[in-house]
Amino acid sequence: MSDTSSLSPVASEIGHLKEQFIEKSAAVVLSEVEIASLVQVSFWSGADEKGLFGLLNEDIKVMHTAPQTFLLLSSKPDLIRELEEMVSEEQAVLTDLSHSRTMFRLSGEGTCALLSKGLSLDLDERSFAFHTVKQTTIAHMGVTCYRTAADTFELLVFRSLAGSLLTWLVEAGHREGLRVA
Amino acid sequence: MSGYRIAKPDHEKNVQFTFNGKTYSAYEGETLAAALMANGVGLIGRSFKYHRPRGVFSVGNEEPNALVNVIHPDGLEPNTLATTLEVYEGLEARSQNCWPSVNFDAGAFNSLLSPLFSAGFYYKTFMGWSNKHWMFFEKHIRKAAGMGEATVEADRSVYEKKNLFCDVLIVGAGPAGLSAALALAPTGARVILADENAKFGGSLRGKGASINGQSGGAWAQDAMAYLKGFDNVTLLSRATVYGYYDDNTLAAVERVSDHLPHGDRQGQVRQRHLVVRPTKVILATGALERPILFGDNDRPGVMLASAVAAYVQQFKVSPGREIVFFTNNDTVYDAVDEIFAAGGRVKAVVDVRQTLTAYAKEIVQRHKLDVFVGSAVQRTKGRKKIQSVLLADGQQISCDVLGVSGGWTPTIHLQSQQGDAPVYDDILFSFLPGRAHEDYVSIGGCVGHFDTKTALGDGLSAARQVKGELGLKSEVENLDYVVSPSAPWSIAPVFEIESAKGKTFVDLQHDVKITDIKQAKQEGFLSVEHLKRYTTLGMANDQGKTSNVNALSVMAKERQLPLSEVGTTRFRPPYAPVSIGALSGGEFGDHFRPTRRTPMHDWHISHGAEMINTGAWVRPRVYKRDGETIEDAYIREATAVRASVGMVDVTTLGKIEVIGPDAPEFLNRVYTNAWLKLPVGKARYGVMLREDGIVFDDGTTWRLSENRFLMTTTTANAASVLTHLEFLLDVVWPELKVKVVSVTEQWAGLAIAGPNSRAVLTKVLSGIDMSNEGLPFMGVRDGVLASIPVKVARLSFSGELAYEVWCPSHYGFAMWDQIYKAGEEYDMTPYGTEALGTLRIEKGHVSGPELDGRTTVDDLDLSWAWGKKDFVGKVLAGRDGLRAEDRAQLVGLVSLEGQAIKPGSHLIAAPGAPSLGHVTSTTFSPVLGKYIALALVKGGRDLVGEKRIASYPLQEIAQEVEIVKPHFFDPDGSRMHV
Repeated sequence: MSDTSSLSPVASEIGHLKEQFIEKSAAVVLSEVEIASLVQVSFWSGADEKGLFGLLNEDIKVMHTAPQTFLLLSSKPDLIRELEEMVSEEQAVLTDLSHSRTMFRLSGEGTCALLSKGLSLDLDERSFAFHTVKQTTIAHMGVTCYRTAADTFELLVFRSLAGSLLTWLVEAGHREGLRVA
Repeated sequence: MSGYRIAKPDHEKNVQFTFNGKTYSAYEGETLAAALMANGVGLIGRSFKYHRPRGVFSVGNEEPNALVNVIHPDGLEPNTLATTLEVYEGLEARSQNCWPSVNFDAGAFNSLLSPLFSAGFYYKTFMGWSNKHWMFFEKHIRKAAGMGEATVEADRSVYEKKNLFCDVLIVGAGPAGLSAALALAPTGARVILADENAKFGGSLRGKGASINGQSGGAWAQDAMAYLKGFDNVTLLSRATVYGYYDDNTLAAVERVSDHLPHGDRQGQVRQRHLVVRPTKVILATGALERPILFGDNDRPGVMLASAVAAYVQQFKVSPGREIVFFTNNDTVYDAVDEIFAAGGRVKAVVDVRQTLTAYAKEIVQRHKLDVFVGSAVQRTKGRKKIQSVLLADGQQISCDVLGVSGGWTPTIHLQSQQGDAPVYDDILFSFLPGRAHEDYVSIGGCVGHFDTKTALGDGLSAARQVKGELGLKSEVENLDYVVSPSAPWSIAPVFEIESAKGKTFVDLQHDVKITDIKQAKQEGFLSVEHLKRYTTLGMANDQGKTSNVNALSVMAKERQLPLSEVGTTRFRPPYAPVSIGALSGGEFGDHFRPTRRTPMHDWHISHGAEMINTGAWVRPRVYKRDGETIEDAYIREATAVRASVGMVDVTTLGKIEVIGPDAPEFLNRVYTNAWLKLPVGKARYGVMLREDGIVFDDGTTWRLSENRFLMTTTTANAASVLTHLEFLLDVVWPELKVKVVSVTEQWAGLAIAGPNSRAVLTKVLSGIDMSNEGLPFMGVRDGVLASIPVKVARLSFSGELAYEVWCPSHYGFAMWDQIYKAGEEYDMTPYGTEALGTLRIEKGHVSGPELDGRTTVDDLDLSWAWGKKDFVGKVLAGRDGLRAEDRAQLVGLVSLEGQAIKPGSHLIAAPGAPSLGHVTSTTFSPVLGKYIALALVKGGRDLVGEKRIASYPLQEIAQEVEIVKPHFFDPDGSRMHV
């Protein structure tokens, strides 16, 4: 393998921001989360969707993003190879999107306040439950928003827009008390 | 303490501020209007048209007169209301619309010419001769009239936006709104209570009238303290809800730090724009007092009666030393009572009614007031300050403040914005909200329930109603309020004093007089919508909050119709002015719009690329070397490609996977040419049309496996092509078993072009036979580049031996760098969009400027791609208009004068002759040593060999060009097939 150390589109920015935003008692902690595997599964009409999910291990996050369409996120590489063993071409179409997105995690008591500056979504737990996903925009950028806890969200964004979204998150977050990890 | 300050406010800090360059003292929490009054300053500014002296008229955002410029470190803010602006240490304000000073204003000369400046004067005098004539006068008219002057400096303040969601939004924290909030808070409902003022309480603030044994003000403070204890209740002060839109969406502006000294604002947000999406809305927006119309009713010192009382009660400042009231209703007597209770004095009351109510009599007797019953103020006397009022019976009363009450106008802007037409009530003599609405409930003053007891009861009822509609299980407490009596509703329907002398202003902010309304009626502007636009009535910053009903009454009288039949205009957002900064939020500079960067972005920057925005993408335009111009750079880059090898970042192309057993059939229907027999491992160029037969997009599509294709689109059309394909699959051909997935972001791509491109790739690629036979033209192969998995397609946009190399995006930088280094021995030259354009223009390949949404396959000389089978757009492409012989056709142009041909130039046969077409793309061609262009010219293919003029009249540029075939270089394509 050649030099592929710069796999993140925002590696250098994150490096600078880590030095700039170091407040330990920050209300929001912002970090980039590596995506090892991201696969879109598009089921054909009439295919058994639930059957597949029974076979998946707990490491995999399943995001229902459109009718018959799911994004599967894993911290392990080669998820698509595993899925190819489990899913036939008659059941669904698999598309490897592991390099297409960047993921940011926001956590801390100020997370909802930060996100409300850009997300036109009701972040109350009754409207946006844990382990559910919503697709919307922040500052004209499409984001897939996954809630993992009361004050923890993961945002998937197009790789090419990662720099712009990071800039927006820092701008929106620095008044809330931000640490970049 | 000045003669106007009755008492020092409790616990408030002393601050210094300047007005018109002079320093004054005030207390934090006071408005600028209150602070100026306390210092005896009554002249605030000059009026819009006649430059008449004006003072403070009201106590809130209904203010028509007291508008000032505020100077702060982040810029200048004109048209700021002195009645809502809170003073702070270092505040600097000045009068506006006056020169050289507010005391001596040269513009006051206009007042002498006022008979000329009636409604429609500008339309009749300066418009209609010619456009040039109006353009000349307009700037002078605007300079003489108008409000404050906007700054040309960038606003350096910080703004932000926020989205809020709740079960119930309560707009207005007066008695009705507070009562609703108190009732809802224990239910657990998510409640937002928003009020435009710094302190909650509305009409209760400073009031002595008691609720449950407490003064109104104290009760409101306790209510706020109680509400603060609930996590489910959000209290927003200084937050003006200005718009009520569809789907129960409301907009508000929260003034976060406008009241703070400059030093305390550093890094703080100035204003926050809020978009609120509640399930239910309770509108408790109250009511505004309106004046009675009489002569010279605009002099400084003429105020709304309730405002006079509010300055005394809330700020302990008396607006004058001799206060007289003029009324047609009983609420003034409450004001009188409150003023005395707060330590102020009232000299007399002029009441147009023939008899006083018992309620009024009791107050009059208690305070031993002089009352002029059955009388009316005919006009005021004075110049820069009222000195006396002249009654209709000839009596004159000296005074320096005249508080006027003509009744109350419910604040129904938000209901009206929802489209609910106001309904006139001839008991209240005001408009009320129209039909009941499923999304909101109106309570308190805005539905004409002006007394405190009823308003509190309204709040409870509304809470119960929305609780039921929300399905909340907790019960609303049965709160009971014991309230001291308020003034009974007793009003005489007197809107204007007919015997008035002098100028009688209806709209103080736009200087619209009764005579203007009469003139509008005489000239046929009968509809209230026409009246508004002809006279500009109600169109200023205050949106006619204190003038609308009076204006309608004047028109009703002129038309001899009941006021209910005259109707009213519909209110539109915003209810109060909103700064542009708040609307834009943080969306400026780097945040104006997001930008998309390719994985090779940092490489381009570090190698001297000058970047250019193409849509949201940022791409290298040229890689400039020292001393090079853009033209120098792209000529060098294009020359290097033809001579040896170059590489360009093509990651931005749209990429769509088309998957499924019916994918070949689907592509066959989408593209004009045939796709059923494309072998695996081959690519094909395709053209797709819109339904109307116009060319939509083009690109190559690669067959990766039996049922999987990779379609590429132009950068600009990536999203719209995907939408088009999804529409066709979902709606037109749902029976086709095909999925389309955007993979634009998954793949990074580069094109390597030039005679040495194969040699370079052979050095670094493994797993692919790179010979002409092993990877033929339009072939697609999988391989490995230094452990990076890649797809290589032998395609050429440049007309050279060329390849596109794709890899998963995270490896894009490494792939680019490896290939660049491998090419160094061949003088590898990275090239940008300029050289990319040069190379494709030399080859006559079409791109965005030619695919302009107006061209057909034949126009672009792509008829070879017209298949016999059916495809999207085929039927409508056969329309006569799209097959006409005189359609503009793609041709090439060569400059005969050695000059660049400007894109957008039109081709003409002779000066003044009609256009034959236009230039789409231009460049200098290094291989020809000439400036060339592509153009769309009527019947162009028959004109090859002829000369025409390329004219660009905007810059008076014209030059002779020769029309040629669009393929300037290597027309048989031999260089691509080696």
